[in-house]
Amino acid sequence: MCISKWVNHGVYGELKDRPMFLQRPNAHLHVRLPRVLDASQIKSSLPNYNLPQRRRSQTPSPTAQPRSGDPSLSFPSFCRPRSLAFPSTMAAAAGGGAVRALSQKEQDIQMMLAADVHLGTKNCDFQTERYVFKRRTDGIYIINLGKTWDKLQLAARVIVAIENPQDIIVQSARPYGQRAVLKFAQYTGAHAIAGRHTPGTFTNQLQTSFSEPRLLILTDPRTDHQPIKESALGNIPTIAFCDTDSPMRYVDIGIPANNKGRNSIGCLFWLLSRMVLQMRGTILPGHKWEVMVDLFFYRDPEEAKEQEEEVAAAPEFAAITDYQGADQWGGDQWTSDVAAPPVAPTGADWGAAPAPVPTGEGWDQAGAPVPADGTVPPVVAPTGWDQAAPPTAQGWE
Amino acid sequence: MQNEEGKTVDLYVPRKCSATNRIITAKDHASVQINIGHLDANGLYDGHFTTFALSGFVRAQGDADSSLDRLWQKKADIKQ
Repeated sequence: MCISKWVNHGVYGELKDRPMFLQRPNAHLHVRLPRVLDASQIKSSLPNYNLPQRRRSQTPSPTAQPRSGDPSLSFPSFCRPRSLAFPSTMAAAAGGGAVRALSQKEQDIQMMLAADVHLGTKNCDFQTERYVFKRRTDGIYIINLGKTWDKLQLAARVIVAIENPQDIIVQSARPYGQRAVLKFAQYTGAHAIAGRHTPGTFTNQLQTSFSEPRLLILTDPRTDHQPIKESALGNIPTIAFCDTDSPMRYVDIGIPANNKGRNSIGCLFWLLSRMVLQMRGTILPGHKWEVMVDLFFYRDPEEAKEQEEEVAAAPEFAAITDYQGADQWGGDQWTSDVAAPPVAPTGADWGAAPAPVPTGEGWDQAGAPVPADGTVPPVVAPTGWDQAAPPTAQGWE
Repeated sequence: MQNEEGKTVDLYVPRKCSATNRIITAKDHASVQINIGHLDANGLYDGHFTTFALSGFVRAQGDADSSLDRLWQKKADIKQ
């Protein structure tokens, strides 16, 4: 009964409120349209949010690049304070000289940067820590090249102070440094040992290769550990190119550098030899050294083979000349062909001989002289017989 | 050593390490003596040099490089 009552009320309510219902759907329609607009606005705003995100992702990369560029820019700034740190040299040298010295040092440091001299290793010995400029994010230590240049200068002073260059031994068991060592020895007059160090060279007087040098220059203290040990037994000062993780025991002058790259080792030896020659006066101050750095770089045997093949191209040209020689030999054959015509007349002469054969009369004529020849044969026969008789008699006797 | 008159009595006076003032004995085969040449204004070697002696103890510890740097810095400020 209650339910029926509610239902009845509803029915009556609907009938009475019909015009109100008609108005309400219109109101709904009006309300929905702005909702759709809001939705479109929301949708349009979403890609706008995405675009700036992409821009944000793009912007960090250009900022990273100047960060990588900053340390290279700071290298010269570190070099300049050192030149300022030596005001006496500035005062001693003229302004132009100072500018030249600065420019030369900066050029050398740029060359070292190009040769990757500044890249150390992932480990760092505490005694080479003072040469380190910075550590990269991948863990590789970067060497301060200004200090490398200063140590190269110091090493050049020590090398120059020795009267006889033959008393200096330059050594490198590392293949990358063999050519550099030989070239350094050639230009400075030192003695080079490129290859394996024979144990006992500095200590065993019985050896043919025994020598007592006044100075020892090494490429790597770790690879060339045997000459270092023997130098410690013979009062021999040592100069070595030290990486960040190289042991510094018994090394008197350690030049901080990358001693594992071929370009780096060659560049360092070139710089050292040029400094030595400048201090000796072989290279006049202000003049360039004509010898190229490439001479000090290690070359792979494959490259040497390629050049040998290029040189073999010249023998190919020689082979062509051999072919021309064959042509000359063919010319000889042609000459023999020219000789053939005189043989042809001989054939003609021989052809003349058969001419009398077909002539019967000629044959009769030949028969006619036969009786005349008949008289001659007995003359010939006794001659032959007489010649035969004496040897027979002699043989018989 | 010297006597009362101030004269040196010893026949052999050993060198001393420039870095640590240790006596370099006759049996110290690891000790070295390094001559660093002097340059003139043009950067040419003028025949004079500065001598530094380092004992084997310093070299065995690996401090020869830093010691030589320190000694040369002092000398370079004076002579260059």
